[in-house]
Amino acid sequence: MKQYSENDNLTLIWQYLLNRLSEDLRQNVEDRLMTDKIFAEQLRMAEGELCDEYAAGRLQGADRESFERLFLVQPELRRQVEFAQALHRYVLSKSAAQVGAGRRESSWRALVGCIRAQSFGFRAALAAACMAIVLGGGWLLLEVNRLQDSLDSLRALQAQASKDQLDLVRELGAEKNRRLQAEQELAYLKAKETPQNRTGVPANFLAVVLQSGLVRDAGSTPQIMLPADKDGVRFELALENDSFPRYEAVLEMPEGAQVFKQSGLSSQKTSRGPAVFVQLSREILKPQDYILRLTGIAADGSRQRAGTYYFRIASK
Amino acid sequence: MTKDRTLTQSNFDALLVWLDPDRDLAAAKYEDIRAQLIRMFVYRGSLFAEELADETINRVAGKISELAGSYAGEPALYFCGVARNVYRESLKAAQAPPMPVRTADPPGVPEDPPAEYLCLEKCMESLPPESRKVILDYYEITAGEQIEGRKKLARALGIAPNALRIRAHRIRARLFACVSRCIEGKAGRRK
Repeated sequence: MKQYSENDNLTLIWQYLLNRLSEDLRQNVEDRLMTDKIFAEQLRMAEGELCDEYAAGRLQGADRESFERLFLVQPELRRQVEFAQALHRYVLSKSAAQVGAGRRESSWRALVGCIRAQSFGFRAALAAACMAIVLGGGWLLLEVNRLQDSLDSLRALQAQASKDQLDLVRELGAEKNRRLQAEQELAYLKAKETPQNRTGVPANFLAVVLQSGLVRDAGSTPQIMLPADKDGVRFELALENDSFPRYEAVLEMPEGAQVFKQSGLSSQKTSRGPAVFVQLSREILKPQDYILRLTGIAADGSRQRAGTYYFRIASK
Repeated sequence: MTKDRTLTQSNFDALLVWLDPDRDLAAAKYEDIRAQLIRMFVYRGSLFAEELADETINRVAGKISELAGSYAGEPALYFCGVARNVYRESLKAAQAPPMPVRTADPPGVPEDPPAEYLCLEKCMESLPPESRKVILDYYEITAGEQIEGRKKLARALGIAPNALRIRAHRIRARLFACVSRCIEGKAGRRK
């Protein structure tokens, strides 16, 4: 069997994980995965590192697309991605909060330890040199202190800037969600004003009301026939309890693969009671069974399941 | 999968003997082969990796009486060959290709702290201080200076760069296991 270097392996594994290998090479990797424990371990390492690269925003273009096609679809790999994202955020926040004081203190301790380890003669000479510095170079010490203070201020400013940047990105995300919500509301209100559309649904969307918790079986799953002239479906997800300021909807296939996610939703009052509206375009909806999971997000960020809605898109 | 080959106890016993005459070693090899088959199907993008792995094992077990007398190579490679056939058949049987994931959130934009993050904070606290420092230092190094920065960190720890990579991977794997347990615990309490 061919001997591979560490770098050969790494390149091969990344190409394998990004689906860039010919079938022959892919089979070669699979054979080694089955028979070589060290190689299998290297593959797991590369899997984590690839997730780290993605979480840090360092995967771009075709690599990013290949990665998302595999890692965001496979539930087990998706958990790895979510973990890498959390780790990336954690390290960012720690870096931002870190100030120079802790590091300076540990450097000082190391210096004292080093001096103590020296001979008496060396320590005496060092003491004399220190005296000379204190007496003759007091101004130098003051200057060093002044520079050190400036450096600390700069570090603190940099840490604050990183934190501000993180807050800004977070705020931007929230703002985008709010804008998305506002756009949906606007589309909804515009459609409501249109005389020919008395249902309150955007003209090209089919309105469907779903109740949570209906058992999924052939008899009771709501079947939706999507007419050719409709752009998609606007689901009204009836709420049993409207106790959250925000909701998140996730569309899944029966085996758990996630197809669509929308955060920052809020409930609305309808003649049937409170409901959350989710609009899905027809290109997302293929003829098959789906599950829409609604999660309530409390003001403190805690999450709780708010409803599970089953439906089937019927084939023509 | 449409083909359903049930695994009988006698076939399973014969399969274990074929893998290794020592029952304990055979059981370990069986678990290992099954786990790697699942990964192989996952990397090929199958959404039914476990089912396909079990189908592969059932097919090999169904032929065990012929194999035990005639096949001389590494058993894991035989499983691998059968797995590829099972995978090809699963593609033909699939009605539609897997759909791409669509998400309304732009990638990389943080929302409220997700459960993973809250669990990670707890799990970081449970790490020994030196492991926590290694993982933070390892990941703190920015993209532009990754190679040199990690070499420098390895030197400071008195180990080779590859040993640092392995150490970071093991701490990361430990954190991942801790976070997974924490999330499962939270989900269990919610039910």
